[in-house]
Amino acid sequence: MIAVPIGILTAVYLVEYGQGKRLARAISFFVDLMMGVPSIVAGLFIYAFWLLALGFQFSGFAGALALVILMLPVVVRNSEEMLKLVPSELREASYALGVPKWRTITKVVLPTAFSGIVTGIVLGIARAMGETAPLLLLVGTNPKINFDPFSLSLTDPNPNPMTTLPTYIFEQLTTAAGSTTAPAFYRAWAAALVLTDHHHHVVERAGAVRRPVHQGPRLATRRTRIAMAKSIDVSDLNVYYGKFLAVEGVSMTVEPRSVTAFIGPSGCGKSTFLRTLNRMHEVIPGARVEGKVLLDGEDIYHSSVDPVNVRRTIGMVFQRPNPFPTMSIYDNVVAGLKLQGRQPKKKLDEIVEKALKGANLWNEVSDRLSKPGAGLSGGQQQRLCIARAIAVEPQVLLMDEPCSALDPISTLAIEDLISELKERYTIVIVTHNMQQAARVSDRTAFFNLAAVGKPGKLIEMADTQKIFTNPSQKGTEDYITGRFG
Amino acid sequence: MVQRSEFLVQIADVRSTLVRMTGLTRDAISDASAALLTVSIDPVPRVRDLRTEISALAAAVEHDVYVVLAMQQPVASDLRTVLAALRSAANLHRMGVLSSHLATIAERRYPAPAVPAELLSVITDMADVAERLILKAGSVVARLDATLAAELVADDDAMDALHRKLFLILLNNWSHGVAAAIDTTLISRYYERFADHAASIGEEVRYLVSGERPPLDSGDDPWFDTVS
Repeated sequence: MIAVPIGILTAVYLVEYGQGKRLARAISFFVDLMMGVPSIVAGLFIYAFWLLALGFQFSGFAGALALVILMLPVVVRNSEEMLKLVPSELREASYALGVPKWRTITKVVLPTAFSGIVTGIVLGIARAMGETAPLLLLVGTNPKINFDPFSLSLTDPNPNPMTTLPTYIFEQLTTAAGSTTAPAFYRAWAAALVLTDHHHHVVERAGAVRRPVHQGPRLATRRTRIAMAKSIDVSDLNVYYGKFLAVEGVSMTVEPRSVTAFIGPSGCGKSTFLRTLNRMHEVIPGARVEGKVLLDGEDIYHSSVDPVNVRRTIGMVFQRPNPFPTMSIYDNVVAGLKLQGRQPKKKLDEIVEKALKGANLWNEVSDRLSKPGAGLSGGQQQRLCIARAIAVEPQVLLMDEPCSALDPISTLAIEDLISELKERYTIVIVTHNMQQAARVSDRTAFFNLAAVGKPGKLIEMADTQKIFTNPSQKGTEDYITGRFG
Repeated sequence: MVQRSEFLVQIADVRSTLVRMTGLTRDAISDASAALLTVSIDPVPRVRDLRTEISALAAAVEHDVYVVLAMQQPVASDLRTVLAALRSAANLHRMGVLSSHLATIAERRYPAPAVPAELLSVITDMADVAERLILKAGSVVARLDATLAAELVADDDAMDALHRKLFLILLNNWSHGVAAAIDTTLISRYYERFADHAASIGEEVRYLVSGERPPLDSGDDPWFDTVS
């Protein structure tokens, strides 16, 4: 009871907030240290601290405290590992929906890691249960069973120490004195059975834990907002990772209700630049920008602007389909909406249907909305992610290589969807596939870098037709004709 | 699920432009024949306008094909369609130009007839064949009918026969002088070229549907005859 919340919160701190911080390193060190502590040391520690220093007496609670010390490192280490296993794509997907960090952790990261964390807790309990030494030391020896863990405290006028199962077995066997028919002998066996069975149960439970599908989530009320495609004006933008200048001096205008494609070789900064357009860039520690990004004239990097709101207005779809694995198809679509309070189920149903229809997925999934989103094919999952992004009615949709993990047919389906979506949204797509840029976009921006380690720059931006039939820069011509590198 | 709907629309647009061009070409040859056979210059400006319009559409098809090739990476039947469309548009463009050449001859001789009376029936036959061929070419392009396309290729023989017949008349007892001989030779040549381009369209559609070109020595090869 004590070890679990402390352990999980510590792990959350270590994974989500503490990266590289001194406190986090210190905590990690102590956790590692505690892992190696023999149980008797934990018992002695509590004996010294709780019983001798603070003056309490032997009790079940003192024993429990020792067990907490034993459990804590197991729970922390396990939860930490499980949280690390949650793909960062899921966190990004959640941030990109305009979900604040702490809600991302409680609603996406912890549920995803849930089964793993429970396994850790169970292992921790199992370790604690197998321990006798600290209990012998702290609880005392008493042949009788006592259900009040706090008895024999200072306030109890009638001291009544508690037994532990191993002690109990020992006592009963002594009483039986070699006779295999004495009742005490059977009591000893019964106790031993309870002990092993208990262990067993706990371990079985660990295997039986299932990922829960969220039902009856907290529903959202939101202002009805009409989707309005907005323009983006970027002037003189520099993007840094720490001291490294990754993208230099980009100025461009992205027209509303159009598809703008970013092409260029790997490392040219096109994805990095894309992520600055909805402030996803700053999720990475040390990343920052200089310059201006105006959304319909409004500076999204102004100090009064909350990045969470920016991401709500400018949605994002990622390279790998990343539906939330713990959620059903339905809940995935409304994931971004759940965060703004209650909304009638009927309204949500409408939104789900509209978003899935908008993503050309409705016909394929309308009969299995409560099934997990992870059960869909790759192409369907990506369309689910697009539905999830458009359900919050963003004004701009950023797509970071949305088809690179998909087969050609799914790719064409997404491309068709993009050309439908541009009627309502401003779309910016990063793609490694030049032909895709040619097929789907109205405007194309070509990024390049002079050499590895040099910043990426915008070389040329023009109508896609111009770029692919008569580009004005030699660098563009060389890249699109394959005379590159 | 229909995919690449935008691309399919582009292809369909190119085809409907081609069908429209065959209609305009038919009007052009019909008006040009009327100018020659009825000794009138009224249809001549119309023929020139049609020729301009056909050329503009041919340029538009070429541009559309250029964009589709650069941006949509057509393959298989889509690729054959755009290539066939490109070459058919060039054929129709030439047919428009030939119609205007015919009208120009009528205009130059006016008010005298450009066609001597004894050749009137041959030239009338040629005009009929030409109109029949462009009409058929329109159906072939609209329906992508390989059988009809093969017919169109064969129908060109009728025009070649008339062309030879005219030469025989010119070579035996010609009494209308050199200028008239040149005019009628050119008129006959233009009709023959016109028919040949119509046959080429049949050839293109046959290629589009089957994916195969006839062997180079078959006599049907469009590459041998298209230059006029």
